[in-house]
Amino acid sequence: MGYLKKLTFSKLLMLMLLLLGAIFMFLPFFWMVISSFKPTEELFKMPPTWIPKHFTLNNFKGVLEAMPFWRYFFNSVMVSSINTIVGVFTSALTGYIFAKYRFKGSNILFMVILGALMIPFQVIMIPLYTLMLKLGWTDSYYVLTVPYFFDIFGIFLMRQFMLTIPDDLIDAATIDGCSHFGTFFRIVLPVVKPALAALTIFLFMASWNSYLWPLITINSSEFMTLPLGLGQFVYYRATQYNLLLAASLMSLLPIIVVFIFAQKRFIEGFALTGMKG
Amino acid sequence: MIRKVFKINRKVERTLFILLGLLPAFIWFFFIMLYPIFMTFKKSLYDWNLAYAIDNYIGLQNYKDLLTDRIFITSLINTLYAVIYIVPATIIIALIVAVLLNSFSDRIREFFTPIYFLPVITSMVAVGLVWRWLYHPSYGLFNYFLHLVGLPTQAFLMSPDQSLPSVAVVAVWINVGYFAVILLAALRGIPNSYYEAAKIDGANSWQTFRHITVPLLKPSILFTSIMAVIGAFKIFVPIKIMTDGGPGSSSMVLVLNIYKQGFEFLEMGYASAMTVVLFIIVMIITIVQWKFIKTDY
Repeated sequence: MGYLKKLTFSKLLMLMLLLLGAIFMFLPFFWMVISSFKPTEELFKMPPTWIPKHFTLNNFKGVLEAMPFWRYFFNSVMVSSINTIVGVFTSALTGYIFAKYRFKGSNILFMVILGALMIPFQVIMIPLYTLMLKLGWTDSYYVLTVPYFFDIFGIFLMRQFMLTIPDDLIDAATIDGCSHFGTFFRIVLPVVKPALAALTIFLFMASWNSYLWPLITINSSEFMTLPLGLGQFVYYRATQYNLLLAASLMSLLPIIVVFIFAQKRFIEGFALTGMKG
Repeated sequence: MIRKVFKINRKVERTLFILLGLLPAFIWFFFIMLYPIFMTFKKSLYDWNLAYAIDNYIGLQNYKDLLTDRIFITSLINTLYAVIYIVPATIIIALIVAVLLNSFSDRIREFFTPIYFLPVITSMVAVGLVWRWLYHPSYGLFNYFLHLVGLPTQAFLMSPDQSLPSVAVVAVWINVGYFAVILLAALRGIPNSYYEAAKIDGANSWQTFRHITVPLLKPSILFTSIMAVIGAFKIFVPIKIMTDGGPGSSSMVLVLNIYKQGFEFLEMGYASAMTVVLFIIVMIITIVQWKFIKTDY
């Protein structure tokens, strides 16, 4: 009761505003779920029904018949996992060296990398595509992974975190006879765990939702990831909304489930990467 | 003696560590970034078509052609409009959401934040499809709402006047949670004592917001704005999925134009010249950013 009393008129107004915004943010997801359980006749009906009158799972069956969904899903999971594991490791290692080692040209090298931070992917995609063509890597897993193995932003982010590790900690390890490799693996990596977690989420999402690069380099459905496969699906079935919406739901579901269970980590991770960038 | 050997070993190991750590990075960097950047600039001076195996040096001809290319100019203007539609709306709404979230208890904040953030993690391809359905001229939910309040049916994505703003709404929707979370983190970083001092001085909530919150948030607002500007200049996926630049070229933007020239018509030299234009634009924004925000690296 005491809490309710404190809820002044302006606070109530603010809460209403927040709620209204949240409803708008959630509406597309709600409508996607509702629509994908409707039979075609009910979907193309005005006024629309808020709850499906004739609840059906046919749209999902239709999707599984019309596109190799599990193949796309497998590709997405595999490619994103590989890219994330490799990307986090290389970012940490490179960032650590740039943060804690001084050698000839280290500053210049880092400036070059920093400069590359502002180069949009679109600027390199055409020659990169022809390079992949020459290597015979288009339409393969190579093209979906190798370009993601290093991440300039990840290197920069990890360097910022590595700078905060006290030198004494590293020196102590060295005095104890720890090798440079050993120090990195046993002392440094555990200390920057929160940063590693944030970068993991960031790189995984970047790879998982990647669309433009697979679009230009992958042609056969054998190597297509979920966004690309879904994009192709739109191309051939532009008006079959019953299938399109069900396919959207199926492709979003895995990441939404992960998000529900780890939403705090997701949000903190993104806030962290945003602030340091 | 043993000590000396140990020392030398350590030195060798240090060099080895640096070398092994950085060598793969630089091989990657050279082939995946440096070489392609150089080639983009070089090939922008070539008549280079993959389909006809043409690859001739033509000087600045591509750039001259750009000046008279109606679709290119349209795409450039549309991109500017996209920035104008998307950036102020995103930042203002994100700021409002952040302030609202910040003014409630942990429980309410933790309930609402994920809802606002959810679109950020979703694939633009999938949600783009959902929005296309919401915007549907005959069966879309938005047109149903318009009917309910007695307004005429709108074509949204099918209308040359509305296609770009309609896509811009989706771009705001998908990103607003991300910027809200960054601004919320900045808000929560403001010491409570500032607000208490303002309260003692008798400031009302608007004055507190205007004279304490906004000035202290300025770096974050500027930073998010520039991120949003660069993002809006590169807008591609929602447009590719929802309108493919249409109707006509009413929602054609720079990156979609590059994609079409380079990968549909295979005019890679011409597309490279457009890419250089995009590069210069992003470069200018970044330099402005450095002028405004002095971060110490």
